[in-house]
Parts: sequence; structure tokens; C-alpha cells
Amino acid sequence: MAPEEGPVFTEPIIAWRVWRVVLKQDSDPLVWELQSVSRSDVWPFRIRFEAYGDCRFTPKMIATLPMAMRNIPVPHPAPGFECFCGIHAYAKAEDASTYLDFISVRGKKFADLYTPVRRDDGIVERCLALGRASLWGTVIEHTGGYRAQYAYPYDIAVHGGDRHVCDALMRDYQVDVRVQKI
Amino acid sequence: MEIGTPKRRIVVRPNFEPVPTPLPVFPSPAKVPVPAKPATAPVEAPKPPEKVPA
Repeated sequence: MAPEEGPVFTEPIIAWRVWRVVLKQDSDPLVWELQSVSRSDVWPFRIRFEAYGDCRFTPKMIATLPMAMRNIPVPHPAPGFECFCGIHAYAKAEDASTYLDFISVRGKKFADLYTPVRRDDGIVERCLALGRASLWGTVIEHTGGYRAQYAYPYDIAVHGGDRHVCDALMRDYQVDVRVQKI
Repeated sequence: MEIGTPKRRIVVRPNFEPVPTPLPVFPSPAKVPVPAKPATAPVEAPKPPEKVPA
């Protein structure tokens, strides 16, 4: 399927995402980082988050894809039109919220990944966040969202965290952060 | 994340990247030196003007 060439935009696309919020080990003062849910890539502070220059899908991984997608050349620049690579985001808040609910429920089964956890001293060790991200560079528009080359958080609502987490995220990412009660 | 099927490729070239600029680092304010008192003799009270004889 040949990609339909779309327009050139000069404003970033704002779309919805879910992140893991993870306390950085041995940080002083305490630092929490945003991580991608599926790959655990860390989103850096005040630097754009970049999709891998070349898609890292190995031929073995490609072989697990549906038959129609197995002819994807590897490697290819991310995001490839027919691949899954790139920074994913939803077009609608409801879809991101549904995904958050899904992995929160799943978290009860895989507690080591998604359930909010506090240390013995009450410090939040990990939780989840729902929010918007700015997307730019090459962007593949999907029926329900986007895959982008570059991204940076736009605003964040922390689920399962507290004021300490919010303040630290706001300080380090320099974006609006709020606590969302769950 | 299920985002559906791909529709089209878009190119987004913002005039500036939507990334906050690094926080400025200001030097710690230098202490303003307190001027030392000049080592002078104690100031005497001004003498009243001498009366000029009429």
C-alpha cells in the first residue's frame, strides 16, 4: 500500500499518550522519569524524544507480523508507513484513557509493571500518567492516532502519584503537571 | 496501543521545536562589599563661629 502524501504542517500535532512514571534510582533530589509503556524508553528532560533512526524490528520479529506486513524492508527510517515503529499517540483522549484503564487492570495481574508502588518511606516508586505530547518530524497519521519521529510531553496528569511526583516532573520537563485522583 | 490503520504520511516542520529551553543558570549574586569605615580621627563637633568684636 503506497502512502498517501499529506500536507506539510508548521505546528506540532498534539496527541494523547500514556506513560509510566518511574523514580530514578539513587536520585537526590528525587527525580521521576517518563517511560514508554511498552518499551520502557526514557523520555529525556528538555530534549526531544526521538524514534529510533532505523526501525529495530529484527527479521524474526517481522516474521511474527501479519502476512501483509512481512515484506517491510529492514532496517528502514522510523516511522515506516507500513510498520509499527515510531512514537505512538492517540488522536482522542478517550482512547488513551481506555488504554490506561486496560493496562491498569492488567497491572493487577502484572503488578511489577503497572501498579502504583510506594517505598517503605511513602515515596512513590512508580505510577502511570495520561497526557498529551507534541509530535513532529515525519508523522504517519492513522485512523485512530499517530506514529511520529519526534515528540515531547505537552501536559501530564499523574495517576497514582502525589504532589512530590508532580512537582519534580514539572521542574524537570518544564510542562504542566497535575495529580489525577484514581 | 491500537491506533488503527495508517492513512497518510505528514511532514511537520515547526518553526521552533516545542521543547522548553534549558533553564538559565545565573551566577550566585556576589556579595556587595561593605565599605570599611575610614580610619580617621573622631570627628570633632564644629566650633561655634567666633564672635567678631563690633
